[in-house]
Amino acid sequence: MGVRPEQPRRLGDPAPLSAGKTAWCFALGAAILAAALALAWRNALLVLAIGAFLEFGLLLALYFAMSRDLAQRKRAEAELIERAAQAAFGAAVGAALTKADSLPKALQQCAEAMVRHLGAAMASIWTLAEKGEVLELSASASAGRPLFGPDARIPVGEFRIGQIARDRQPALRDLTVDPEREDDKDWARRAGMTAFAGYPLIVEDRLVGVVAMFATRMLTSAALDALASVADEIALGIDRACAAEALRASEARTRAVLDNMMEGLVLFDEGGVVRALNPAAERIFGYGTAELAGQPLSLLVARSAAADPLSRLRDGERRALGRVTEWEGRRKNGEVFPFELALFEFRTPEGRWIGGSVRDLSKSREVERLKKEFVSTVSHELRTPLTSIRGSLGLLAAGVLGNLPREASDIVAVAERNVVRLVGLINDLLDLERLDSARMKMRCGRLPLASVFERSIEAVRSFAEQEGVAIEAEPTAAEVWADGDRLVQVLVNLLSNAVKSSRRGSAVRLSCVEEEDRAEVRVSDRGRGIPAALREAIFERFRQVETSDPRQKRGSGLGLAICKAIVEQHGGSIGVESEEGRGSVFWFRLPAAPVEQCGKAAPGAGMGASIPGAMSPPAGASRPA
Amino acid sequence: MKVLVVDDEDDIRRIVRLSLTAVGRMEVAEAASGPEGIRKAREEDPDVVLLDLMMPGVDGVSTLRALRSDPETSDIPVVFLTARVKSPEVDRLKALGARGVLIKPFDPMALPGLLRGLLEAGGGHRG
Repeated sequence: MGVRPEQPRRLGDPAPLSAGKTAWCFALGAAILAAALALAWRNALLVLAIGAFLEFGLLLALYFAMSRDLAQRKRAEAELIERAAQAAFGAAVGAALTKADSLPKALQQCAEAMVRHLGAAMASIWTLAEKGEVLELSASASAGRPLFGPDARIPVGEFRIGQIARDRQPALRDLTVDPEREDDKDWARRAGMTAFAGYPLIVEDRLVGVVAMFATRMLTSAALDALASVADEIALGIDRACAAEALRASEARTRAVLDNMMEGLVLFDEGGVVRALNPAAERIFGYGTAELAGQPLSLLVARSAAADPLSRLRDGERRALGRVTEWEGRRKNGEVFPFELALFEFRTPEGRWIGGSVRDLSKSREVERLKKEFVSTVSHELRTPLTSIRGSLGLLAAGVLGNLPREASDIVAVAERNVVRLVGLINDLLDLERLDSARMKMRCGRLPLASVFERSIEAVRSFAEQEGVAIEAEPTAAEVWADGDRLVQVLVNLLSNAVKSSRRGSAVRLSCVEEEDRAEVRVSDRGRGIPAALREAIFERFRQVETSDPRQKRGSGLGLAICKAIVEQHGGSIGVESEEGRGSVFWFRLPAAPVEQCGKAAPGAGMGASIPGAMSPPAGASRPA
Repeated sequence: MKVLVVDDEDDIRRIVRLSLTAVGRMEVAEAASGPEGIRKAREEDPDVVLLDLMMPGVDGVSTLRALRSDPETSDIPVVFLTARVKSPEVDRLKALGARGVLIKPFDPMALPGLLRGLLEAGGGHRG
């Protein structure tokens, strides 16, 4: 609490009659009496006079004694009244701070109590605002005209009130003798104010405000003591109210977030009993909080999982905490739906609670299904007419229907080349869509790389010959764990890219570096190379190296993205080393042993989707017309 | 070699016929629907049925089942020619008894060779 300096005994009052002065009166009376007795021995005549004088002296002494007694009694009575007033003041402030339903009301009642019980002509309570730079008037009461407007503000450090806040020291001023400022003297005289007392409101070294009062009559030391101790109570009251207000504001913020978040939130205890849920969770599960609180968690999960969701939770808890797991939920109407769950734990006075953040997946699943259906439908609907176009042009271009004039044959070749490209693009899009949704099943097995090399080279041979580029493969005995068809697809893609970027008469090299638990396949060309800035980006969709060479623009821009997806689904990695103007080396690494990512079925070479080299040659790899 | 082409699309039947006859030097019979295909398979006794998968009414799978269950046609190899390209589907069709699956759109110059390859491999898939 605040520093309590030595207080002047009274403020705003001339010094009262003191006990010392009374003693002097008695001494004077006794001296006069003694002188009279001494004289009586010399002059009998004077006896009477002395007697009269004595009587007068006694009367005088009696009068003094009586009047002194009266004054003491009056003072005792006054002190009693004052003490009662101070007690009433303390009680009023205590009641205000504990019973008022808001801080402004409590402070107002405190200010009024200062006027009523301490005899303040004007009382004010100021609280710290704006990061502690300004004092705001929180409450004021006065016997007459109020001194401050309702929204009065005083910067810390200015005026009497601001100085108390800055110095954290009480200020007690006798305005009749000790005006702090010139204008105080005039104002105080005009308003009849004689005393000012102000205390800083401090809690644990933190200033929370200032309490101050003006008075038109003297302020006794007891009144000042009462004000000083009440200042402590007011400070604590303000601090408590601010803390409660901050807590309420924080709760309101949290509540607003929880009430308005898109994700559902379900809180349950260790026994699997639902304790609370937010509106989003109410919407997801179809229950109101009141219906669900106290109910077992199993109500919210599908029957298959509901058998013992808790044990599932406990088993998975270590893993599930902080991670997203997928569950089947059950709504109030019985509908079963998929949802994502992220668990977190926290301690409450009631024990350990677990929070589940819930995201309904049914909509996104529906979108996924529609997308799948759309891709499938579009692919089929496009493929049927394309089959006719591609077939017609192929037969025409091959001269099956008779030889065409040279120009007509050239144009038909252009049309055929482009329809092949279109088919390739559709196949690539379908492949990527399936790789994305992990629906493309890998049929992995132990596979000699040599056979993959052979099939891939066979697939691009005619295209390479057409471009005048040789393909040289180093013999290899390496084996990998992979899906043969998919691996051929990757290699055909890399080889045809390498052929495309090579100059006529140069060669593309295919090699394998065997390592302990994996194999690295390398496709090297002596072409233009790839700018450093693009070496990552070329594995993204529709990213191709900008080029003026028309041969480079034949691809769909999806080939490398597909290669990357396939290699990654095998648990491998893909990349490129390149030097501009000198050529590139595309490499991919595959595990030699089975990994989780790849299916464990026997290697099948079924006539699956867009089998490279069979029905969908690499874009641009059309036969010479 | 005689091929029965079953496809509801006239244009595609025409191109398949041209490809198989002009390029592959094969004999071709046509059917525009599943039921017609089943009837023609009995009448024509082809060496192979090239069957579309998605047809209105009786689709390719039902046609295959009917061919398999009829002793007169149960030995005729069936190869699907389809725009549906999912790997699980290919496995399913083979499990149902199809000799192989060829993909639309196809290269008309390569189709006869691929078809022959499937029949010669006998094992059921591209070899």
